[in-house]
Parts: sequence; C-alpha cells; structure tokens
Amino acid sequence: MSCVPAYNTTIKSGGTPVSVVDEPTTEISTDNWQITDPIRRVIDSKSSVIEVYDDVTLLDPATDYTIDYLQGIITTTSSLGVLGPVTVTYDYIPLTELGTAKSYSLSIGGDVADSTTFNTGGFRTRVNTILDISMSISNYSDLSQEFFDKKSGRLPILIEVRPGNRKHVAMGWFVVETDDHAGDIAGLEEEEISLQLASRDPLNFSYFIEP
Amino acid sequence: MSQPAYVKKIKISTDNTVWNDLPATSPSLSIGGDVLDDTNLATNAGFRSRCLGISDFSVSADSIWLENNQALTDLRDSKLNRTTLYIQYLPKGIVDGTGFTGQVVVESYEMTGDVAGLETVSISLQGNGTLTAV
Repeated sequence: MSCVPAYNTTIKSGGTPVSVVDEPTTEISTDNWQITDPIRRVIDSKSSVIEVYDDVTLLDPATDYTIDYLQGIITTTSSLGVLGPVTVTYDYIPLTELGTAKSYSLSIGGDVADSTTFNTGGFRTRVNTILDISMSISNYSDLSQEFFDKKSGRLPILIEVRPGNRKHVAMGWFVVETDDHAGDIAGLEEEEISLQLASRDPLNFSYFIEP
Repeated sequence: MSQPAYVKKIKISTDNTVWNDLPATSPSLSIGGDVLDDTNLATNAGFRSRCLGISDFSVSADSIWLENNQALTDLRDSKLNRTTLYIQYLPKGIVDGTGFTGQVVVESYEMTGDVAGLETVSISLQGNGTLTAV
C-alpha cells in the first residue's frame, strides 16, 4: 500500500480530430477489440466516417457491433463468431497534456432522491438518480486561450485525468463553465477553470483502469 | 477517558459481510434527522417542546487515494452504478459496541490532486435506512 504523490498526475485535453484508415485493433477479451495504438484510442463519435472491418468485410453498425468511444473498444456481436483482424477507419482525438496545470478536482456527484416511506423503520432512505460530474483545474496561464476558445465557441472539450500518471483514468466531455484569469503584481498569471459535464455523446464520462 | 482518533477504522462493504478499510484521514459521522416542534398552547410551560421524527445519518471522509484500495473502488463504483453500500464507523477500530453501522448511498466522490501534495478523495455518504450500534 503506498500513497500516490500528485506531482506525476497528468491532465490532458482533446485536440483536433485526425483521420486514420484501417487502424488495427487487439482483442482484449472475447468479442472486445481495442484500438492497439494507445494514442489513437479516443474515437470521435462525430467522425464523418466510422467503419469497422472484419478483415475485408464491412460490418453493420446497426447489428454487428457497439463502440466505446472513450476507450476505443469495439464490441462485436457474439453471433458473428470468430473474427479478425478487426480494423477501424475513423477520426481519433489526440490528447495533449496541459503543461501548466498545478491542481485539479473532479467530483462525481448528482442527485440523491429521498425514498423514505412509512415502511422504512423511522430512518431516511435514499436512491441515486441522475449522475453528474464537475471539474476544476488550476493552471499557470500559458496564454493559449484554449479554454476561452472553447467557451466563446460554445464547444465541449475532452479532458483526461490520470492520477499519479498511473493506470486509473477519468475521461469525459465537458463544457467550460468559467475561465478566470488573475495575477498579482508580484506573482504569476494564473487561470482557474471550472467545467461541467457536456451533452456531446450519450456516454460522456468514463472511469476505467488500464490493464 | 478520551479516545485517540488514530485507532479509528472506517470500513466499507458491498455485502455487509466482507469489509475493507478506507484510507481516511478525517472521517466524521453525523447522526441527525427531523426535530418536530410540538409546542402548543395547551401544554407549554413557556418553553418550546419537541419530539423526534425521521432519523437520519451521514458520513464524510477525506481519504488518501490509493491505487488499489478496495474500499475506494467500491465507493466509486457504487456512485457510478447507483448501488448501495454498508459502512462501519469504529472509533476503537473494532466491533465492540462503541461503533456504528448502516447502509449508505454515495452522494459525491471527489478526487483532488495538487502538484505539491498527494492524490486525495473526499467522500460524502447519505444514510439509507437504519443506523445501529456495533
């Protein structure tokens, strides 16, 4: 058991999608194929073309597979039998580290509904309903205006947090709620960013642990 | 005689049977609920009177984030999957009648990292049913 210093933590943001053709995958478990190159795993759900091939056979997205866009995993229908090689033509979203970030918080919250009835023995009972994710990032300002551009353009931004640069990954699409800039005469220009979960994709947040 | 807090244990379970320690640094248990004012003209002696309604409890804990800690994993997954958990709050670190246990839902699971610090997690839990002594 060992604590995890945060100085190795990485925070990355998604950039402009890049088109790739016939990108290879690796079967990580039965019927689950993950983009082999870790740099190309985030699949842009808004790609102009998303095609999955079993060797040279184009698979039908309506019946033959589902896609985990954030982890780059294609799950094929078991009735298709043994497949391979599975390749994908799509746009991937490159991730670039925020080089001047110095602290963050990521809150997994949401609504908790009261379900107390006359039959709950005199204690309150509750149920988790809608989930919600919010983030804050503190940067030394790099003057790139990346977050300002997203906010003013009303565009969502993909953020990846990897605590301690280990195997746990929290990734999601966020809108920039606030982008505050400040700097004392004797200090550095700093940027405080608050983010709320966006509605870009149906699955807009994922927490996963890499093998 | 006072009780040092360093021996305290906060334990998490998904099945109320197998318990895992939470790497908490400053946990707290709040036992509360509704207090109903029944002051009335017929029975008051110039003071308010009250009776207890629905009871409630909540737990909050700041924790060190450990990569493979099962309690943290169960808390995070419970929130993401909307399931319930069980918690033991044991001031003496053991089940000896001085602690508390109950079922909870995870209200929030907040991860934080500062370049000069450790990865940490702040957790808030809301009671889901009876709190009992253990």
